Order: sequence, then structure tokens, then C-alpha cells
Amino acid sequence: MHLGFLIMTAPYTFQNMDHAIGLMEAALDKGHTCEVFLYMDGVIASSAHIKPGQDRNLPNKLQVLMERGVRVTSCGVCCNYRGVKLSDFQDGIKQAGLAALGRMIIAADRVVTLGF
Amino acid sequence: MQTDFELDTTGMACPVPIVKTAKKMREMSTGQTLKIISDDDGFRADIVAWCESTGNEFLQLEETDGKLIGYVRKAV
Repeated sequence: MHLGFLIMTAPYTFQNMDHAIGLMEAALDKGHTCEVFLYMDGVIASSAHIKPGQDRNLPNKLQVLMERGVRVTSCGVCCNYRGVKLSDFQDGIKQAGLAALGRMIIAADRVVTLGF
Repeated sequence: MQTDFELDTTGMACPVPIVKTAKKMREMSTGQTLKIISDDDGFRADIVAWCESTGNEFLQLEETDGKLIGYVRKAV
């Protein structure tokens, strides 16, 4: 099964990113495939400059998932509104827009929406 | 690249370039080509994704003077 995750909240403020990462780790372990679209405040997790100290590093966790084949896409307009530049992105995260979100929804067998 | 039609979406943010592309393509016949100009960074991936999800043919993407120029062929 191919799972799509739409994440609309900021990392650390909400647990949605943690839930999505945990669900994807479990899904990949069971042989499923996953992809992520970071939308609204979710795009903040695109930044390679997040330095949470001893706390969990969510962009690094996304990086590990990408190395396991998960495609991570971040909404370009949402980034513009929040001052997240393409040059700030964690390696491997792509910038796109709603056409890419539409493609993910069509391609996925199930879409998990994690919002407010 | 020679194209049948051209669409300039400069200054328009996502999703407008794709919406206008879809609208223009509805007016076109199968096999005709469209050149789309955009300065929206998201257009780079969006035009490919839109072609994937609609079945139209993505031909090429160029970047010139800070603008993205996409070429697509109507396949359906």
C-alpha cells in the first residue's frame, strides 16, 4: 500500500510530525511505501537549520525516511509566507505546489491528514 | 522549441500557473504543444506532477533569466 501524509502543523509545537514519522517507520517496516507533503506551518520542518539540542531532530528523522525511499515535498508558497528559503532545505526535500499535492492524493491508496 | 501556444504566468503564485495551464490545455487539441512561463519556484515540480496526474506529456523545463519555461504536449 502507498500512504500519503499531509502535515499542516509546525514541528515541536504539535506532535503531528512525530506521529507521521512513527507511522511511516512502522509502515516501511511492513513493506509499504510512503510520501509526505509539508503544507502550511508543516513546511518549517523542511529547514536544515533546526537545532533542537538533545531533543529529537525531526528534519534528521525525515532524512532517514528519505534514505528509505520516502519522497518529501514542501509547499513553495507556504515557505514564502514563512521565510523558509529553498537554500535552507534539508537535503532531499523538494519544493512544489498544489499540483504535487494533487498527484500525491491520486497516487496514494490512503492519505493521512495531520492538521489542527 | 517550436510550440503551438504560449502562456505567460509571470507574477502568479501557486496554484494559478497550473490552473491557467489546465484551462489553456482544455482549449487545445491532442498533440498540440504549450509553452508556459513562470517565476514561481514551485512550478518546477508542479508542472511535472500535473502532467503525471493528468496524462499529458511533459516535454522539457528550462530556466532563463530567473524564469522557468515549461513545455507540455496535450495527450488526452
